[in-house]
Parts: sequence; structure tokens; C-alpha cells
Amino acid sequence: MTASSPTPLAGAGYRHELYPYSGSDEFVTGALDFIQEALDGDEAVVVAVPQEKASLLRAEIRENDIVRYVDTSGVARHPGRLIAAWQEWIKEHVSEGRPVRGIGESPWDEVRSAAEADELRYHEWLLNMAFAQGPAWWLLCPYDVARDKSALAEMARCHPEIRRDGRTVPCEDYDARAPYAFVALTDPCDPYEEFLYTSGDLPALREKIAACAQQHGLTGRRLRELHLAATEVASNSIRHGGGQGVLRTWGEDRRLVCEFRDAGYLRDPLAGRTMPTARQVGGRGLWLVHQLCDLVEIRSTPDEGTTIRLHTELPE
Amino acid sequence: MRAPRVLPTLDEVDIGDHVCHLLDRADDVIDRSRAFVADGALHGDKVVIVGSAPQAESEFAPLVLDPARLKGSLLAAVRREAAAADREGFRSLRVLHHVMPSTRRGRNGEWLRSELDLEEFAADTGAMVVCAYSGADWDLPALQQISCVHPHHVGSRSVSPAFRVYRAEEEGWTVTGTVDSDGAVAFGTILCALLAHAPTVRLLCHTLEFFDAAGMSALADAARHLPERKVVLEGANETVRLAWKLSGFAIPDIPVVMAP
Repeated sequence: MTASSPTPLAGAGYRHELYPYSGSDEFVTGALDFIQEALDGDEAVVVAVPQEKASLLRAEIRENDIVRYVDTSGVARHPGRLIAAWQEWIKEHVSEGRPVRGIGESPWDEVRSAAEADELRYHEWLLNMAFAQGPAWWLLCPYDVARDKSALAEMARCHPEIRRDGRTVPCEDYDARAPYAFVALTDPCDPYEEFLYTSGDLPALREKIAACAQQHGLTGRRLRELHLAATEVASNSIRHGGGQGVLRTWGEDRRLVCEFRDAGYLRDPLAGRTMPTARQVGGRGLWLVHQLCDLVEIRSTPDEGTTIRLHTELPE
Repeated sequence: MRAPRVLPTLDEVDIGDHVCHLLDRADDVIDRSRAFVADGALHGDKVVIVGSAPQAESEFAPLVLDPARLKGSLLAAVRREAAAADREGFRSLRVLHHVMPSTRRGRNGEWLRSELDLEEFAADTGAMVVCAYSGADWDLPALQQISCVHPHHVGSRSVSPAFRVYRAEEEGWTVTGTVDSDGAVAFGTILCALLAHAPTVRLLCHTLEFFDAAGMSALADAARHLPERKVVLEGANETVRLAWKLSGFAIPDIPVVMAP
């Protein structure tokens, strides 16, 4: 399956660069070079990397008005929340008219599943689209090839530029016109429950999910959040997806997965990934879904309809 | 403490109840309400019929208030009767309201305001108010919306609202049940009606089970619909509070306060 048009084109004001490195020393060297270039050009820097990597950089360059280390713990493992997080992190500098550089690295060591890894890569691809028309800023994405070199080619396909030997060059693997090459969704784990829903079935749908959740020990606040997310997705099926959909629920690797299939087509791949404004009419459903679920997978084509999977981590 | 109830018959109507009596198309309002009216004498209650005079006037109806002939509001009229009943030594006032759709253009929403007034009246005075709606006169969506503003329900028609808004004893309105995309429009309409008559509306949400993005949008739209108004949500669970904030509604432009 591939993502829909419009294909992401790197905007004139946005640069998105992959930095493959091997080990901590190379990470620090490359990141410090990038920060120093920014400081030489009177540009601000936002550093959004895992805590241990941030500590390495803090030892060299302390936080100040120009260089800011942001807490990524609430978003780093939730790919659907990252674009909005970057918008928020650079907002202050952008409002001052100052060019901004960012250093962003996902905590690949902590990734819980192949699905999460693929969603993190998809997020990298979507960044090109999300900031295509936005303010000028430059994001460097360090990627440790010592940990896993096999996925480097997939990462490269998401970045218009790549840093090699201290120089920024066009990334040959990136094709601005190519759709994102999704990994196929895995089959549901047996046993799974299935429920066909249509108008008027939202309470029954929530009951089905509650029954499955309780079997897996999911209750209270986390169940309420899942109910809210599930209701938003199912409501979209009923209103925009042909009036009905199919819910499947199953447990998988300490997670509860709720899958919704319908005949609709989600045209905008960025839907739900940017924060809605207070006066915006509609458009909050998918935003809430991304904010409330641990992982969200969305596949949508005009021919095959839409499949959305909501992953909720189960209590220990 | 008032709480929603489904009553098997009108015999079960108690002090302070505001009952939605949904009638089948073939039902006759007078016949189906005769026992409720007769019980007024049994319990020492004053009885008032609200309806068109030719229909209600008979030995069946001791006192008839015809909305079309009232000089003031229906609320003012029943409040007068409640005060009179108190002076005259009755236990309470029994109101049977046969509600008919307005035929005047632009007045279709007036029943909602009237029902909210009667709900407040029943809760505040202890009057027993039964609102009879015939399926012949009202369509299903309207009946569902009507049910939302009655804490009590009787009748053979199965119209069970997903949520109810009813008067709490502490100067607020209890919201109970589920407000999702199916009921968001009705919820917004009710809120607008409440805000039109009070600068601050307290919504007691301790028993609100579920509130989705459509419901929150309806709340936000209603709150900023009129100037100098405020909605206070009390007792909403942490998921509602989180979703409200995540939705971008927790800003000064939207006069909604989330209170413990």
C-alpha cells in the first residue's frame, strides 16, 4: 500500500536532513557541528533527542535562550504527536523571526514493535509535507547505523538531504514524487472479535471494546480514553466512510488493538497531526485519537478504503 | 436528590417529578391521564391542565390553562397556581401538560425553553408535571430531544435519550449519560436555551459517562454564542478535562470553566 497524493515536496524554507552516524562520539561530533553552524549564523536551535543523548550534548553546550533542549518523553514514542510537537517547539523562535534549526532523533532503542518503527519512519516522511509551506527551518535527524543499518535505506527515502563526511548533499534515495511505501499491516492475532457497526451503534461499539478491554485488564482512565478515540474513528466511518464499518479487537504483545475498516478515503495524510484551532469546525476527532492512543496506524486508498488501528498498552 | 427514573405508570409520579409521557398515535391524552388527574383529589393536590381549552374542558379538568389564551408565560401561570395551591392548603400542584407543536413560524424551539422552565419549576416547587406528547404530533428526532430535558419517563414508546439534562437541587443542571455525535446537536441546542436565560450555567457532570469531540464542540459553540455568558462544568472526569484541553478549547475566548 502507498500513501495518497499530494506527495511531499520539501519546501523552500524547510530542510530535512538525515545524519547517519556510528556510536556516541560520532553523534556528538555531528550534532555539535550542526549546532555551531547555527550559532555562527545567529540561528536558534531546538534539540529533541533521547535523554542520554541530550546529556552528551549538554555537557558541551549548555541550554540558553538560543539553544533549547526539549523534553520529548510525552511524544517521542507516539509518532502521530510529533509534528504538532515540532510546531510547538519552534513556535517561539519563529514568532521572533529567527531561523531555527532542530535536531530530532527518535528513541529507536526503545521502539516496542515493527508497527511503531514504521510509523516513526512515516512521520519522518510526513514532516516534508507538514512544513512544506511553513517557516524556514532545518531539521537534522541523527540515525545510529551501529544499532541498525538495515533500516537506513528506509530512513533515507524520507529525507531530501543527507549528511556525509560533514557535508550536506542531496539524498539519492529520496524521491519527492514517490508515495510512501507502507509496510503491509500484520494479520490480526487470534482470537479476535468482530463487530459490524452503523448509525446508532456507537454505544454497542463501546460495550464491545469494554468487554475486550476488561478481558485484558484495561479499565478506568485508559479505557475511557480508548472509548473516546474509538468513538471518533467509528463516527468518521458512519459519517464519511459509507455509513458503516467493521471493528476488530485483539490482544497482541501486551497491547490491545482496535481495528476499524470502512469504505471511506482519508484524503489528507496529515489529518489529526496538527493541533486544531479553537474556532476550527470539526477536525478534532483524529487529533484526539493520536493524542489518546499509544500508537495509531492509518492506511487509506480510494480503492481499498480506510483501515485504522488503535494500539493501547496494557497494564503490567 | 432527584434522579432519572422510568415509571411504569403515571400512578408512580411523585413530588417534584417532571415526566415525559410519550403516547402512541392512537392514544387519547385524556383517557391515558385520567388516573393522574383523579389522584389529585386522593392526595390533596391541586390539578391544572395545560392544553387547548375545547379539548380539555370537561368534568375531567378542574382548571384549564390554554397557552394560546395566556397573557403571560406558561411558567408565570403555573407558578401563580403553585403559590395559590400552597395558600389554599393543597399538598402540591399537579400539572398535566398536553404539548402541541407550535404552528407559528420560527417558534418550533419554544417548547424546549418551556420544558426547561417547567423542569426548573418542578424541581424548585415540588410540583408534579407530566408532559404528554403524542406520536401523531411529533416526529422521532423531536421526541428524542424532548426526552433529553425530562428526568422522568413513562409510556409505551421506546424513546430512550442517550443523555439527560435536568435541574439539580443546587442551582445547577445535571448532565447524565452519553453525549456523542448522535446527540451533540440536541445538547448544543439545550445549552443555548439555558444560556439565553442565565449568565452562568452550572452543569453537574458527575454522572456524565461519555463526552466526545462533537459534544465538546457543541459546548464550545454554545458558550461563545452569547456575550458575557459562562458555563461551569463540575465533576467532569479527567478524560473529559484532558480532551477539552487537547481540543484547544481551554482558552479565555471560550467561557467554559472546568471545576472539580
